[in-house]
Amino acid sequence: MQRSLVTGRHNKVKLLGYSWIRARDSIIKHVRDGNQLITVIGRAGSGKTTLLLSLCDYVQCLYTDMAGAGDRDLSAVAASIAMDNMDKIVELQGELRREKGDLKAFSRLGAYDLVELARLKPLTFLGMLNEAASRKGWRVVMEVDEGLLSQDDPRAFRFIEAMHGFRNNMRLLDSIYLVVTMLPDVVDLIAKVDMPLFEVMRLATVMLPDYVGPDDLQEVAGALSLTPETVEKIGRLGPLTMRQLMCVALNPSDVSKCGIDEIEMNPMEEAEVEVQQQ
Amino acid sequence: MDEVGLAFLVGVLLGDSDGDAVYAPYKQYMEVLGKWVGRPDELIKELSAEGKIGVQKHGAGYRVALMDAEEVGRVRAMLSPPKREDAVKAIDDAIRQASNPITGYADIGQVIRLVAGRLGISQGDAEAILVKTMLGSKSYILAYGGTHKIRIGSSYYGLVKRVG
Repeated sequence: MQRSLVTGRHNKVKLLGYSWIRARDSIIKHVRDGNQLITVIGRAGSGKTTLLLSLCDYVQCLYTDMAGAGDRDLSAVAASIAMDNMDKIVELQGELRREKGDLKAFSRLGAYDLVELARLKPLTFLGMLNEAASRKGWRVVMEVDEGLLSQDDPRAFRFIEAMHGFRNNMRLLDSIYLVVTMLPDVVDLIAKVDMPLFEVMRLATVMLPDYVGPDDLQEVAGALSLTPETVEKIGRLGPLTMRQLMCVALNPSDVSKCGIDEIEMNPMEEAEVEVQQQ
Repeated sequence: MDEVGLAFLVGVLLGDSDGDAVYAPYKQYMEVLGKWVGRPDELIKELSAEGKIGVQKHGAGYRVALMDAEEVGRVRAMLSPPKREDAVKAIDDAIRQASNPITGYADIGQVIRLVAGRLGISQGDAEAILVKTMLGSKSYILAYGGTHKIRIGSSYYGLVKRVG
């Protein structure tokens, strides 16, 4: 039950819902338009990870999940990307075998050295990767998931600095794209503490739907073979995230397990508001 | 109600609103206030020093200006408690005002402060109204984070968004 409600890079995913497919298309459009810092925003359970993983069928992606990484600076991000995508990086190294100097040295690095280079000199690592990608004609999309778990994460500033570091070097890394996922509270934090980053970031943001609307629900219901009764029940429950919807589909007899008992309190009528006088 | 509250109550009852302040004729104001407060002159002097009330020349006479919007709001809320529609409108306006331009989510702490100011009620009451409104409507989406977390059901949320 639990594991069917979360996904990861080892899972095969299928993106459902017209609104989510539109969101994926808009990321692809941002990549085609040359916007290198793309932010996917959505509340918990809105499908951010699934969206990133599904994107790998359309672009050259290097996906990494930072949830298990200790640090959040650019070194940690680059090392995490290197570790999780070694096969693709080795393929890119092949493009630089005939070069001389640094590029040739990079092309001969083994897995351990690549990760070390990414950790010690992240911008050099990304620069080499960029060089190889541009020769191969690739647009490499680095997908960094769970970089910022919440605004209260003490490492939040490290990740914001990492994003800012990428922002400042976008011209040098013109074949590399960075897609990051964010919760709404983290966007608020960046708006407050790093306005220069926010100003660039806001030019390429993709906001995932906050809840599954009627059209999306019909499509999801078709894909999951839900009965009309279950669809009707879901429609009554109120605005559900995609994860809540999946949870209800798996567990229709006890929706309280999906954390949505409170939404059904007054489905048809608005509560009366009483104002207590002072 | 204390003397300060009375000073504002008398002003709101006798006066007229003009922009952010309420103005009441000085003579009439002092007569009525004098029935309830021992030394109205001293009270007005104290409140003037705090910047809450001012005595201004107006035409041939004087007028009392009530300049503390929070106190005025509190008295108004007491005289005519906000209706449900007013509360919902205040919440929606506050969310619109406080929302992040990218996400559309507003910090609930900020929304509570704005609602309290707009309806002239305490922040505790504003929070209670907010929670009741959220529970009774499908039009509000909640998310984690924020500076002030409210408990809805079994979860704590700090961001809110209005959806159609």
